[in-house]
Amino acid sequence: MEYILETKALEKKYGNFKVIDNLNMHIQKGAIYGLIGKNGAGKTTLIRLICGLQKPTNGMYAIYGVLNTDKQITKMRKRVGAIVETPSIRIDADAEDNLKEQYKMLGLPSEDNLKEILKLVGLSKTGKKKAKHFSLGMKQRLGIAIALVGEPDFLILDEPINGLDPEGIIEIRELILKLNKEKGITFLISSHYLDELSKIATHYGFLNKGSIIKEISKQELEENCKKRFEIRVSNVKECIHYLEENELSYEVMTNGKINIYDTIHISEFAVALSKRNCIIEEFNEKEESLENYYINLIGGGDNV
Amino acid sequence: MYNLLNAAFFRLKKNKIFYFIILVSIGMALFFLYSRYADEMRYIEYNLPTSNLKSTDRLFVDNVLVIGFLMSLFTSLFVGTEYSDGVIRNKIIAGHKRMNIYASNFIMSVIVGVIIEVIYLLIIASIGIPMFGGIEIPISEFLFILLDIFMMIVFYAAIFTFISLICSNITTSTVLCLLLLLAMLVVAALQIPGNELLNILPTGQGMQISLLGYKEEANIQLMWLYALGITVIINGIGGYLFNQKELK
Repeated sequence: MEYILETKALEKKYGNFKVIDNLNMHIQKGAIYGLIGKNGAGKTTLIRLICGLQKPTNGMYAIYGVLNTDKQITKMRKRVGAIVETPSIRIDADAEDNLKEQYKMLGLPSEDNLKEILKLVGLSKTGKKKAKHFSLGMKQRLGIAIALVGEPDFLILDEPINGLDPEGIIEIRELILKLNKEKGITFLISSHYLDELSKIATHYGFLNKGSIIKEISKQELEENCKKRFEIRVSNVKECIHYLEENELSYEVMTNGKINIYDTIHISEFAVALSKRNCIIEEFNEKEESLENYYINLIGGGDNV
Repeated sequence: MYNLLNAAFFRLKKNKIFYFIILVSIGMALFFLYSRYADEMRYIEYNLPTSNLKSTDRLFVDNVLVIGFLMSLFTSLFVGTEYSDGVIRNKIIAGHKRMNIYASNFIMSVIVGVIIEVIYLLIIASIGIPMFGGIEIPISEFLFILLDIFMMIVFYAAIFTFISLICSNITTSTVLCLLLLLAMLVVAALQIPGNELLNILPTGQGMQISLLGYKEEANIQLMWLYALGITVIINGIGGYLFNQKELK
């Protein structure tokens, strides 16, 4: 498996306080990795470490397989673009000048694709308007445009939709999807807007108290979150026979419960089972959202 | 490093503070020239001996105590904006080494200091020499004074770059640079001529240079070496601390 970013037992301490604690994370090429965690979970600190703004106390991370302790890491960073907290833009300059400075900073000989980048992020018609007069969404898109100058294949966005209005949120979402599909850019996006993240992410990392407590793909998450009937029966074997005969999708859980993923008519189902000497002892209808999944994962409402 | 400087020059061309301090430097040169001219007119009007008038040499060094103020303003705001706009963050993310970021900011500060000084010297030379006569002190001594002035600029650049890069808040770093400059001015002003402290403070060096008429008291031939040595130390410490700094 080719990982763009991998961390192993990463740790960051401020004094005696561990902000990042034994963090293991894996981002595959081409993924949109949603880093989910409440405020203070360590999302921004993790991003600062990966971007080289701060140094880990312990552990390691590798970008394109190059360890953070390797001198080659600075070269690898050239393939990474990032927006940490707020977009790094010159508010007294227009969009074009902001990009031109980035071209020079990266030592790129040609500014040929400048117009293309501005068009891509929807800022081609801003002319001489200074960035300080941009809306929050425009500033965010300008930040992404600057990050795109070096044609990175990995973009890190820290809370990219924070403070944006609904229109701005849609613009950023569509831009991310476009860049992922058309340019093949891998994304690491941190957010606590779970619903919004669920619209774009292909993989999720759930961060709590400085550790990734679960990494899961969108497909796996959907499996976990889809509507299901959770039952406990007196005779599991007979129940399974019935489900098999009727070609119903199910899963037997380790706690003895059975999850049924297809729609069933409850009274008919109960009668059919009773004819097989099987009694339904417990019946629950469950449908989890990403939010519920996250809350369950971190241990309930007290932790939120 | 070249890329960092190239980007910094691009920004400098559009920087208002840079043009402001150039204007101040031009204004200062014209003001000193006019003052000298007005003095001469008064001396002639009252039939006083013009040999007591300020020599052209002195005009060349009249600005040395103001350079520090202009450089503190420029460096703290130029570097401070890099922090407030997130550009330093961008540079690190883009794979630039911290040492190079530190060095490029120091070099920019030196270059701007040199630009404002050269503009001042050119105006004094092109107007002052034809109007009030040539340089009276030996040319070797004059060249040493120029060397001292330019090394004092490098010295100031090292101090203000250090503060501006170690302190990441633009307001705090600007206030700190100005306060430190004031403190150094006061300390230097309280020293008696010949005191070693005058050599190890840029303000002390500036005072010695500006007292050209009392050159026997000044350490003209060694002052630049003090500036060079202390600059190396400040940059070494600053580079190390910036390398360790936790950025946001």
